[in-house]
Amino acid sequence: MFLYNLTLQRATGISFAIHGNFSGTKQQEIVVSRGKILELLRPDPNTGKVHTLLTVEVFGVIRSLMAFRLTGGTKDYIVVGSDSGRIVILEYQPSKNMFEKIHQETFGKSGCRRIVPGQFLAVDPKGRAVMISAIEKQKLVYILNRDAAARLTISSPLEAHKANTLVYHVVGVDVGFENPMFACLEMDYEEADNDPTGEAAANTQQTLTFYELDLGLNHVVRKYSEPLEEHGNFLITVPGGSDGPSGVLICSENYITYKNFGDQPDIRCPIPRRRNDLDDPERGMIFVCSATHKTKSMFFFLAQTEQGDIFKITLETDEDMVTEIRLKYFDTVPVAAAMCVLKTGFLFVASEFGNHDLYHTVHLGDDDEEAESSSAMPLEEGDIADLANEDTPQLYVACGRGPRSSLRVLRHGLEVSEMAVSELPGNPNAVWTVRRHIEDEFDAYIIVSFVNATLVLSIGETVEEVTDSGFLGTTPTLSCSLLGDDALVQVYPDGIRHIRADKRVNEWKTPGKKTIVKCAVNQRQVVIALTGGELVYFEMDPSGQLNEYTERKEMSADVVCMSLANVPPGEQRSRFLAVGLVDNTVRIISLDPSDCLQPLSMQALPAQPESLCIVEMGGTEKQDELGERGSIGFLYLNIGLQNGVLLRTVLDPVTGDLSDTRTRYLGSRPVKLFRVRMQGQEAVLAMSSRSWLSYSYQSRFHLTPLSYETLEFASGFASEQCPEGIVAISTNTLRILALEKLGAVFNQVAFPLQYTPRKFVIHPESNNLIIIETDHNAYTEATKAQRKQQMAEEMVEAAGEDERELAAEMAAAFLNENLPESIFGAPKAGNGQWASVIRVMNPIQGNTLDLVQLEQNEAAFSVAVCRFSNTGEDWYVLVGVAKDLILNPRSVAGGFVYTYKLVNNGEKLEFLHKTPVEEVPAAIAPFQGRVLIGVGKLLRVYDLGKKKLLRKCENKHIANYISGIQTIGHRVIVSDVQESFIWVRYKRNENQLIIFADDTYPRWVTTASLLDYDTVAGADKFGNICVVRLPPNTNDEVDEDPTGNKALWDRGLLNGASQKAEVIMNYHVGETVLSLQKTTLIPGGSESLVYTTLSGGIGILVPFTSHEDHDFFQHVEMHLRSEHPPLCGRDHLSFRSYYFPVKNVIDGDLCEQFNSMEPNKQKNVSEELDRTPPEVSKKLEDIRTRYAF
Amino acid sequence: MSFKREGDDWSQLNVLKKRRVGDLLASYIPEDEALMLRDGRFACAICPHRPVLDTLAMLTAHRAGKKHLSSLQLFYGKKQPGKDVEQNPRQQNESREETTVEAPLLTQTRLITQSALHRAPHYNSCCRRKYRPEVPGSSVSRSPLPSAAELELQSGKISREPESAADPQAKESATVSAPAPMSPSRRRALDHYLTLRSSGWIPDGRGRWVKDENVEFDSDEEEPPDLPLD
Repeated sequence: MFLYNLTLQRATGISFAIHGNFSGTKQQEIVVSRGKILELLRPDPNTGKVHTLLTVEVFGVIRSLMAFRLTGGTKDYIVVGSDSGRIVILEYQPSKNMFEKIHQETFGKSGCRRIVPGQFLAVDPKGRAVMISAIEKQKLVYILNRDAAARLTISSPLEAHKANTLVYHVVGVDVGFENPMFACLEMDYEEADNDPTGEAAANTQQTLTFYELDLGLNHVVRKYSEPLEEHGNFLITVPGGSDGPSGVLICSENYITYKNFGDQPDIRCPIPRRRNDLDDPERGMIFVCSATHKTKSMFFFLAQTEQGDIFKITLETDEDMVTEIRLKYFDTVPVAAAMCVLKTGFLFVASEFGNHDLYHTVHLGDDDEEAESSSAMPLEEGDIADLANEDTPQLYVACGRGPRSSLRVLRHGLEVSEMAVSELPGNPNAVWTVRRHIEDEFDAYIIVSFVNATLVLSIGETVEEVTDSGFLGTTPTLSCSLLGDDALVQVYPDGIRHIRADKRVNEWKTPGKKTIVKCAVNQRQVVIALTGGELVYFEMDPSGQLNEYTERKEMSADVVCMSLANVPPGEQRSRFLAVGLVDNTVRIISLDPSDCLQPLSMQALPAQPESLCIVEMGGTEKQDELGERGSIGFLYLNIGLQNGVLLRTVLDPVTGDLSDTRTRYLGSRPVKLFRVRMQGQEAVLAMSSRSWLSYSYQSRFHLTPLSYETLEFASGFASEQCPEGIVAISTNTLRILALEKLGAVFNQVAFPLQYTPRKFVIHPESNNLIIIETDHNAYTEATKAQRKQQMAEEMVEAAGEDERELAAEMAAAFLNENLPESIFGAPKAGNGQWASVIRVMNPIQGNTLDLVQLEQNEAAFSVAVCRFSNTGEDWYVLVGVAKDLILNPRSVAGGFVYTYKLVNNGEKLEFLHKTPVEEVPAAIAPFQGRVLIGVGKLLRVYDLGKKKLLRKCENKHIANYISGIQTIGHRVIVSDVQESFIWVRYKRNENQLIIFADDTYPRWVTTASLLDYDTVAGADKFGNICVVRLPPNTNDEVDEDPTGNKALWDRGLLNGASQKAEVIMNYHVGETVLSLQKTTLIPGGSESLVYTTLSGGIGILVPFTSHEDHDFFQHVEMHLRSEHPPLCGRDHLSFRSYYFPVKNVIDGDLCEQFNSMEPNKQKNVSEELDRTPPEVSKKLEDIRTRYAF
Repeated sequence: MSFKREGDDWSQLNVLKKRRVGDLLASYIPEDEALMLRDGRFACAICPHRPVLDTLAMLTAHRAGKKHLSSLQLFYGKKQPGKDVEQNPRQQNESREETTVEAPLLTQTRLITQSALHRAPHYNSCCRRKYRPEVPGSSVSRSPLPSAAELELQSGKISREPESAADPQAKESATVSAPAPMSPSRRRALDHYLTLRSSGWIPDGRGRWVKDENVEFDSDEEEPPDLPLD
């Protein structure tokens, strides 16, 4: 078995975010890291939306990220610390839209190690040096400079090592143009290590240490070190030199401290706390992240506490001495992993969990949310099923954490935002938009054609009908367009109407009894087909006159469709006309004056064409801000067939030859094609029974269905409110739609949940979901209310006699106050406090049908829906609950298995009984009319009893803790939390569970899925996926020792089973995989193994069906590994073999980077493969569309 | 796995050689005379006390012993009382070879090489009956519910529980001599037997069912449920 890995949705959680002018223009961009992905975002200050410019998978773990700019420079570079043992400096190239590796310096071993630098990065604020530090001991400083050609240079590393020292944080201190200085939060554990009494360990203090890079002597000295009172968690640089007082702010538990050299005394300020907080008042408060904003005249910091409150920190200075730290409450947003304040007044908040937000600051102290980029991180559990009875399955994923968690339904398709819907008098046939002048940014008219009339609507503040546009209203319209600079053209069955800017109208009438059947129009050319297949060509001359070409062309058959490309900028005309004929052919006809109306090429089609569209796609951005022209894309001829198939063919811009055809079935109806604009590029909207958008995004072609109802006709639409929209017709309505989330494969519908969802199961009869939600460090609703009441009473009691009334009022206000927990966070109850609910939910409407609150400190860990053979047709829900679980050091008071009967057609839970067990019941699975429950390390069979579940059989030989149970036939596959899989056979005859095989690797299994009777796929918490299989000669009829006297030595080698599974495949994904499922994603597609990851990614592993394919992709992967090495310097092969050597899996994510390689490299690689670059990318596209999207 | 030998002590080498030959010859132990345990060791299926032996060599040695030989006689005497000709399966094997194969020595050598090349011993702890030699070694049920034939196999298997006395029908099924299609009532009875066994009832050998002390029952559950009528 050979598999191919494809990512469907990249990870969405953000680990770092930095901002700067990465493209070298005035505009600020944000670079975020999503674990192994580097992404460049550009917030649009006008619309308040964040656009993704570039996403690159780096095949390594990004551990730190910093922006830096050379002194006097205007462009920011990106410094990346990763697990590659190398420091990498990247530059963004806007013309090519790619990150370029400027420097890559090796300093140590690869992997995330304690003493290999990479964990912390700090840059000198003046851009002269960068420090890269390990968690322990090693620190390296690189001096950055520019050479004669103004290119960035990097020095050899200067060591600043100190043994036995742990590092907590490193920042560059702003000292102006004095020698660069770095401040580190350190802990020297040498004494503590050597003192056996433990006294030294108790007294060891954290220190703030300054390292100075002496530029004159070219070495680093440990300048000054000072023990700290409190244990700090991070540092903030204070601007220095001419901009501020310099120094650092130390954020520690409950306090923030300012420190600097010289006479500056320490300034300390406590971190404000919420009044009347339900949190444990003894618990300390820390800042978790910060952002600095600096202009020429002022600076301030924003720091966020772990509750989500953001404070604005300013420093009061008196002649360069800081006298005071001021903290002012700013706002509360979900707890962030990183924040960026932009010059345009936007605050980008990369949430720790859940959706990321861009806020617009109205004035400091007040802001409103502008855009939200959805993130499914953390994604705990996923299931793919067609519960809504659509033709394609939906992905049901439980994601988020605490009060921000949600159940999301993911459907393949682009999210469509409906901007306006208006009813029309009658059913229109077609719609177009036209601008009034070529320079205009927005469209002026919407022209709607009916069976016997044409309606013209003008676009302004409102959309209203006009009659003075010059368009002929008493006839249907075939097409209309802007002609030349400011004229309009309307093609209708009896002629062509040319409307000049001054409303003069020229008409061309069809000869005799002929009418116009089809037409194609662009800015300068009009081609019409008359009845009988005669083509008439018009072109606009420099005076703005529309002239007919001297000859007409008779086609061999009736014309069914035509298309003209847009006129390329700077040229007179488009050179090609595509004509689809009734004889199942498409012909390319030249419009060049030298061979006008001569056929150039022809393509036979499998069915009659319905619609044609020539577009230019695939080029990188045409013109960047510097006026530098990027490469122009290829011309593509899109052919929509009557049988619902879309063909995309490359049209040679010189010869007009057609080559490299890609096919895709879109739906049951004939495919109609419309040209629209998406993110500044041309795209094609294809309409069959479903509407699809074909567009190029980040140098990859996407063909994605719109998650919207069936449309009949569409046209591009640009207005002030909606710069890149679509106007479309559906029955008798006119709709204005916008497609914003380009590049996304799934559109999401989210239903909020109360606590972190842990698992869910689907009730097969009603298709309802039963979700268990469990949070640690949380109060249940009942406890929360009780605590509130208690606090209110205390408030009243604490007040003096005369203040009683006031206090009572305050208490009442406090009781009535209800802050939304999704923003303000849930109160933290402390270690060992758990809250859980069991929820029955309709996944289609998203409404909760039933909700069971468990008691405080009962944590639900497992759920199953099953039937028992002794009770007939009733369905039961079993929930495994731990009681008083403390995670570290681990202790548990026991557990329960709650049994509920599903009544009322699967909508209500009726409590039956609860069964006490000794340990945490972490896995439940139905098995032969009974249930298997993993209670800690015990595997048990339970049957339904009258007062509790009855234990019928037990196996005590599982190694540590049962985390999952799968069953097939008499076989039970148990996943242990750290010992991989154990195959157990149930013998009904002897009522025994007997282990007969196990795995040879210690895998920390998170999830598993059966592939067939002998094969199981599993994922572990380190981000590996494996497939293991029992060898064919495995015998599951083994007996326990028949003598019955089981002795200590009567066990297999190291307690293992005598038979061992074989590893079929190993692969390191790089993100913890939390669900695996074998399923088909597209109707009629083949089966694949779908996985979802903790960071919100979704990927699939697909099997190769032919040896040839496998061979081809193996070579593509091999060439790409050498020709296109990963960006952060980690070797691709060693990354995919992080824990186990990669086996039998080819990395499609790497192979697909072929499309983003430079053309000459593409050519080299494809020559090695005996193919052309389009052939290679076609193969890449084919394998993706065969299994997924 | 073998280690490279050092030294030239011939006696040791001879011992090893002998052991190797013994291993090879061990493949002549018929499958139903030994059981492979889940820890890779072997139990002799002939001797009533089921001795567990660590290696094939030890099993071979055991099989040459007096005790084993006497129980062998007992075993075959008991196992096929209906058969008129009492035959050791080895002899059976040989006689079959003689009649069917022209070059018995060649076949024998081939068999020995084959078993020598086996990576794992092909013993199966499942005792199966003589009349169904076509059952493959790794017979497994592919349906969630065990098939009737499999049920029969399981219940007919030699097990340490003295089950046979308790359920005459089950015993009957163990000794039935042809895989004839079962009557629905028989099948129900068998099913009922398995249901009772798997819910923790043990036949006590006197035709009654007793509760397994390691298994939980409902408090009002004193007697095993009766065989459902139809």
